[in-house]
Amino acid sequence: MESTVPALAQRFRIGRGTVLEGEIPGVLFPPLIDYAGRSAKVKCRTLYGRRWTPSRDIGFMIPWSGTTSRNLEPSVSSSPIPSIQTYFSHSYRDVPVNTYFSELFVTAGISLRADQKTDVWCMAKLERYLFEMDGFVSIIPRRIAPDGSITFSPYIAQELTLARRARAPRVLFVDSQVLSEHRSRFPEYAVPFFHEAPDTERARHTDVIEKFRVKLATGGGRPHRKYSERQATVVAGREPRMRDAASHVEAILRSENYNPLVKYAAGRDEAFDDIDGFESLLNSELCVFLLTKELSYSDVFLAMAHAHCVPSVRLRHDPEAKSSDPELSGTVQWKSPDELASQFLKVFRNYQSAFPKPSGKEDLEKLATQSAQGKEWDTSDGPALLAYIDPEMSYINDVVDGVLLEVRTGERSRVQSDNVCRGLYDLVKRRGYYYSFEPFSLSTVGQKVRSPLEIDTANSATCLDLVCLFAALLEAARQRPVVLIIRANRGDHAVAGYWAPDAVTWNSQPTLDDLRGALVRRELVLFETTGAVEKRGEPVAAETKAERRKGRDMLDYSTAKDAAERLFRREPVEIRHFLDVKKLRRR
Amino acid sequence: MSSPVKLYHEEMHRQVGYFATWLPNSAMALGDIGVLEAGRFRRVASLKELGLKIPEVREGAANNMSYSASAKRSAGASAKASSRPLAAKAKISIQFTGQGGFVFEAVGIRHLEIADRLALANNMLQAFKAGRWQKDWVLVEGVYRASSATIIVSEDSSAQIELTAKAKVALDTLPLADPKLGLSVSSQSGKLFHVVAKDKIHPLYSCVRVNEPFLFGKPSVQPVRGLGDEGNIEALSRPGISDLINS
Repeated sequence: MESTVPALAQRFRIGRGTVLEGEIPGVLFPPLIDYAGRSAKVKCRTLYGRRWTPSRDIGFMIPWSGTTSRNLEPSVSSSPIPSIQTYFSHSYRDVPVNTYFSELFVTAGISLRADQKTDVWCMAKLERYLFEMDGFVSIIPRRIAPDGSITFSPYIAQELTLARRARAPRVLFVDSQVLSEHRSRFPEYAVPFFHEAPDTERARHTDVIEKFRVKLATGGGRPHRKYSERQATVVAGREPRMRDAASHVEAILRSENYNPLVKYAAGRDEAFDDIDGFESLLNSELCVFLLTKELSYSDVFLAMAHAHCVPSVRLRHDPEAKSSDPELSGTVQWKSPDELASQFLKVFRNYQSAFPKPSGKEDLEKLATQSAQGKEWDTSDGPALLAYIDPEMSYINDVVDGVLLEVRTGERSRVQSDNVCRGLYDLVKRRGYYYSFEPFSLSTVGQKVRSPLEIDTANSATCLDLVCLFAALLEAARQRPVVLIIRANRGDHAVAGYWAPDAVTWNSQPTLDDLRGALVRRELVLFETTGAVEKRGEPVAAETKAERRKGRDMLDYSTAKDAAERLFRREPVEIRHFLDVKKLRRR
Repeated sequence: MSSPVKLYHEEMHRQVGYFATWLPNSAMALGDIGVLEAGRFRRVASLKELGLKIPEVREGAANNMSYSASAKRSAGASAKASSRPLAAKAKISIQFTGQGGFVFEAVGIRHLEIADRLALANNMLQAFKAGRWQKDWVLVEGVYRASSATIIVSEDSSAQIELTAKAKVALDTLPLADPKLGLSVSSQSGKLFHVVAKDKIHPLYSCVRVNEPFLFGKPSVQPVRGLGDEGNIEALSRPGISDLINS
């Protein structure tokens, strides 16, 4: 085929299966996309015969006569679709809502970029990317507070505040009940969505997104921030502790190939009138502020950087600090130089990490899965799972002590055991974890298992993480925990349970029928551990969508028991591993 | 020698979690002591005979049970529903398609079990230590007792039985175990076992044995701690369904 004319930068959105008919002169016809933003294959009749258009990445040239085809959407038939990138502020656990909105944005030609879930809240990274993106997209779903009221994530709210401070073009979708109950917390342009079926208002959402797209495409976007790459300004007071702290930070920055400029703020006039200092802040890729417990002149510089949304790491010295984890404002408290160095490095590394572009449900689920967590368990070695059940952790014992204080203790009985298990289950439920994939592993034989602390940090867990957690809790509560890994139609799944105190068990590994018999006799109690965490969308195992909905995306304890029993008693199920924890320990 | 009615044992254990008594009308009681042989429980003694106290018994509520496998039922022409007058002698024919195929129906069936297993475990251990308890003995610690039951089990791969009712009722309105039907066997072919509307039978049971560590040949006895008797319960173990079928 000949290439005789320059390429056009246009794309055309068409329905699937559309046939472009007619003679088409020589034009580089760019790849076609369908309604969902995916490559579309379209049959074209050309001078060279009927042929298919290629995939997105290749493109090819066909003659084009200028006649339009059937099914071409008039509203987008001739408007160019530039590449628009936006920051995607969302809640990791709400995969169905995120999937719904991300599809609308992708269809509109707006690319969403999101932050990979980590255990570090890094304000500087967010500040940086707000300038590097054309706009800001926020999806704010509901959270249920411990008292049952409807609320929302303070972190997502903080990201919205950041976008408003950066004056980034933005679009905001909020759960309708959240918006109704917290109206004053949101700007007037917030658009509601119905959490159970967001596509109820698809037309309105599509319209809002299209207006947002047009605004960004026609010059309404914020100009990108201009700065010198790898230049960093460090601001500190003159007192010895702060000077030393600045040296630590400066050394770390240099080791990471940054060019630090240290600024000592000593007086009010210096702070307000130091134009070089101010320009240095604006010109730097990153600023680091070493602050004291009391307001100082360094805070004045911080306020300037804050107002201009310059990416800033805030390190505040506080000898009485209880935690060095970043606060919602991004401030990191530190007590000693060692703590300063380690915390700064952690935040700085997080700042340097890029964030991915989700283009579907699987990507969104991966984003929600914290990386670099968990130790690997060989899935073919059942007894080895025992190493991941640790009832002696102080964290586990604290939890169990709390539950046992509330549960009526007395003589060992089936009722008492069930009360203990119910208490532990309800406590885990109150933690507000959500279901997520296991941490990524390159291994083909292993799966990473999160410890209870890692579950707490990540706020998420798989069925395997949860059975190990519950087994540890039950064992610490002096029950007889069991872990069952079964293979069913949809894949492998783990459930936990316990033996009744008077249950008589077998010397050899029980068969499936033996265990089913024990379930019928109520000597064995199993429960769906993922019922204690939020899971939206498809059920995890044998629970139904209605059961999850009734429990606000969780299951109450009784339903969790029913679901596990249902899974276990329906065919076909195969036992991969059965662990009687207490017996295994004695071996 | 393995049980000729393996399917019956397996299915009932799968459904109810208990062993099926074989022969279904064999005498069986809580506290019976015996051995498992060829799918049967053979009684050798009882707790009472050994001078051991029978712990408290717990009794469940009565209900009906109905299970079957590899059994095809067909009602006789005179027993079909409503458009024709009921004949004096309704019939039902059951064709079995596999060894161990069965029909199990029971009315007024209750579960009875020894409530305090921890005390039971203590007693058994003491008896063992005193040389009065054999290693291969099992103790019946749970039974199901039926007011009336009809149990038909095929011992070969194809057998057939025909039942005739005396009562003027349609055979599909009452369980086959209901004495009101006045069922009797009118014909049969192949090797079958049947009890029809037999009262006060114990068609299901569960049993435990003294747990014996593989290496040492003596039962494990967990130390009795101040707060609980969990150690003693683990001195007992339960025979699996394969132990019964392959006995």
